[in-house]
Amino acid sequence: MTAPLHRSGVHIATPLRRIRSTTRRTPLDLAELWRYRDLWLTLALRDVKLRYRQTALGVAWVVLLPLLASGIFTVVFGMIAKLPSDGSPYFLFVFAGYLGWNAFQNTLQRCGISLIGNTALVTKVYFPRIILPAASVLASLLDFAVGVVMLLLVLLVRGELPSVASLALVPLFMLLVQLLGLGLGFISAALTVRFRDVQYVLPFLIQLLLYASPVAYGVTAVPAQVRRLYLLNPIAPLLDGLRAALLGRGDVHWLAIGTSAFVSVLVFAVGVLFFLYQDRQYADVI
Amino acid sequence: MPTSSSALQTAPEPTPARGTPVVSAGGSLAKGGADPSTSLGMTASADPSTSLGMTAGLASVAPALSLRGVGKSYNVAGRQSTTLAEQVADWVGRARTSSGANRFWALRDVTCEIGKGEIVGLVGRNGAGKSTLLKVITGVTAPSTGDIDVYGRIGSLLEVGTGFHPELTGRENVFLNGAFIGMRRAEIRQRFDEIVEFSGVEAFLDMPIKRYSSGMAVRLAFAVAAHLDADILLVDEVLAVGDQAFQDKCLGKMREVRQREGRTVLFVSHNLAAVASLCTRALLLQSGRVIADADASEICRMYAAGVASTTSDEVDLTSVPRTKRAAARFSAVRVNGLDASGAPTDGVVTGGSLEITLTVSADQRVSRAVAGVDIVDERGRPAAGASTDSRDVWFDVEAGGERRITLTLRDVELRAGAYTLGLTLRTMAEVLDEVDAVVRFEVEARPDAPYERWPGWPQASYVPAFDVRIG
Repeated sequence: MTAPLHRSGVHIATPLRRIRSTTRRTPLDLAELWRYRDLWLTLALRDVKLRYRQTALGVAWVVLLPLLASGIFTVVFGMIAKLPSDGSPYFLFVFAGYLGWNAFQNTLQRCGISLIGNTALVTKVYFPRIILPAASVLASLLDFAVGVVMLLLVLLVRGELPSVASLALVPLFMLLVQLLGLGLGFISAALTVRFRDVQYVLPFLIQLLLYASPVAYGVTAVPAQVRRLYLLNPIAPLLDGLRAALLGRGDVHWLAIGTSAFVSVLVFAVGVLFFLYQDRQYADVI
Repeated sequence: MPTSSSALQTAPEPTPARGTPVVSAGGSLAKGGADPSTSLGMTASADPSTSLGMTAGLASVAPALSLRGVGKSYNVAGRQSTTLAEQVADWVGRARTSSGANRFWALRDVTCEIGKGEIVGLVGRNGAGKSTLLKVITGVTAPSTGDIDVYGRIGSLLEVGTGFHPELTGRENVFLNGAFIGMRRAEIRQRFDEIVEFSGVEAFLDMPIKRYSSGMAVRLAFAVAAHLDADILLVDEVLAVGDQAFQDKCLGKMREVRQREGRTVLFVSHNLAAVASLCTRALLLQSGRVIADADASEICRMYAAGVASTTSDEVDLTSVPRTKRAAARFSAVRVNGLDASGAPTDGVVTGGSLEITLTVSADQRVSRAVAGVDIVDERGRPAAGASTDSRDVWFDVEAGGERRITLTLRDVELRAGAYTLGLTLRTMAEVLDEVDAVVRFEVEARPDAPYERWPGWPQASYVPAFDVRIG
């Protein structure tokens, strides 16, 4: 037989992967993650495609859910409680806030169930596990993008289109929101494998966080003396900044955002490490 | 392909017919601590000079896989704490759970090297550790001991279509499956037509997989795995499914893969004919150990001849790790069936008799001891059991002495399947020794009741002798 030994024609001297029983933590193999980048994309696209398959309204849900939520918040907080909205119509004000919030909670929630929702994959096929939760980002971002386009269309019609400089901040704030969501998501994904309790606790905590964040109301509605404390919630300054950037009005609390950015990056790093520390036992425990 | 085994393939006809005297593809002895009683026959059959030749041959080939002392243990106590409350309870009682008393070694001390381009069969009974070995190699589950080096991309067909998502179409699933072995979308696109043509499901490509017949799903899954660009391909039992024509097609494809592409394949199958004709080399597994590593047809002969039969062979228990060392312990156990005349048989049949012989040895004198066995089914449920005290038998063992206890179980109405034995030795005061899941044996369905093989129903493993009357 004259077949070459290997397609590349050379012997690979160093193993592509080393599996060691002695290591406690799966190493963060960036080269491997890069090799698997298309799996991330494929899984993310799978999530996007599957979400509204076999639903009558299909993709319309992407728009309908934030509209419904914003409608309810407008009635309760804008019309009944009559909270301030920094000069925007209350509905748009809430809608802009909810888009950011939705991108955060979608990522966090999908991450949480990403491992236990794919038990067959986790127990039978090898791939860097962290790709499963990480793949949830794309769907969140797509939803967000659709919402932003809608919002901008409305603002255009109203002649209130924000400046380019203002809109340029949106991706930055969204990046931080996603880092925070992913970091918490990695932790909850890893925990859910072992403790299914997380599945029940997480939605409750998310609900709680929603009311502790400037979504249904603005930061200006928070009494000035506790505002500093309020902005310690890392998601709060980010959502507030995101709304200000999207509507092109309102203050951006840069100091608070700086703190949030630091916390987000930290939470992300801790999340990755925690996930990798648990990595070796997913297939056995799930 | 300079493997020593490829020397067999110099003939243009790539079909190595079964029964062809395969001379010496060589057989390196398993280093994986095979227990002496079972590996004796094998040791004799492997000529040391040829095994040397094999090692030399391998050294010149780049390795595809290298395993050193690989083992995998599971906690079989069934105490997988999943809620927080249980976990806290576990932390409190940590000393007990982490003691290793209830660890089941699905894989033990596997050491071997597989060269690029080799097609290696994994042979062994259910529960011998074949699937666990594949899982550890792919990285799905982490080994408890040992190291593995993997030189290349692994593609696996562990369970057909695992990577398939039922809601996605066939087309989308091909991409998903390719991505799981780390392929770029562009690479998959390149081979897409080839895959589809091989699978023969062109017409249904845009239909969700959930509407496929199982046969169609299998075709697609095999086509994807066989065409995608993995350096190391793991195939588990795929040939058990699909119709004859498709099976032939798969076998042909595997031969082609071996001939042309220099790809490494690990092939798990109960189909000995397929293993013998496809593989150049095979590993025989038993109770998690590799007990023989040799030319494929040689291994198949050994397996078929029952060399590795767990029943009727005495299993040495002296090296099984224990949590404590008391005055006496089990040193060996043997399980065999009995025929109508009371002569020992190899197989155990539902409703037949079962003879369990326990050897107990003592460091210090032990008086009034009791020995018992639990027969545990594949789901880990005790299905039946027997102990000496329930027949009011108590025995003494002198210091340095040995006793042999034979339990004869009659009318063992266990459903066909694999069972393990749990052994307990105790006195009134203390438990002297506990050994779990070291011996495994299979109960065959009775020849006149083939339907007992229907899996999963009824649920119980023990079905008492009964009659049916329909009025």
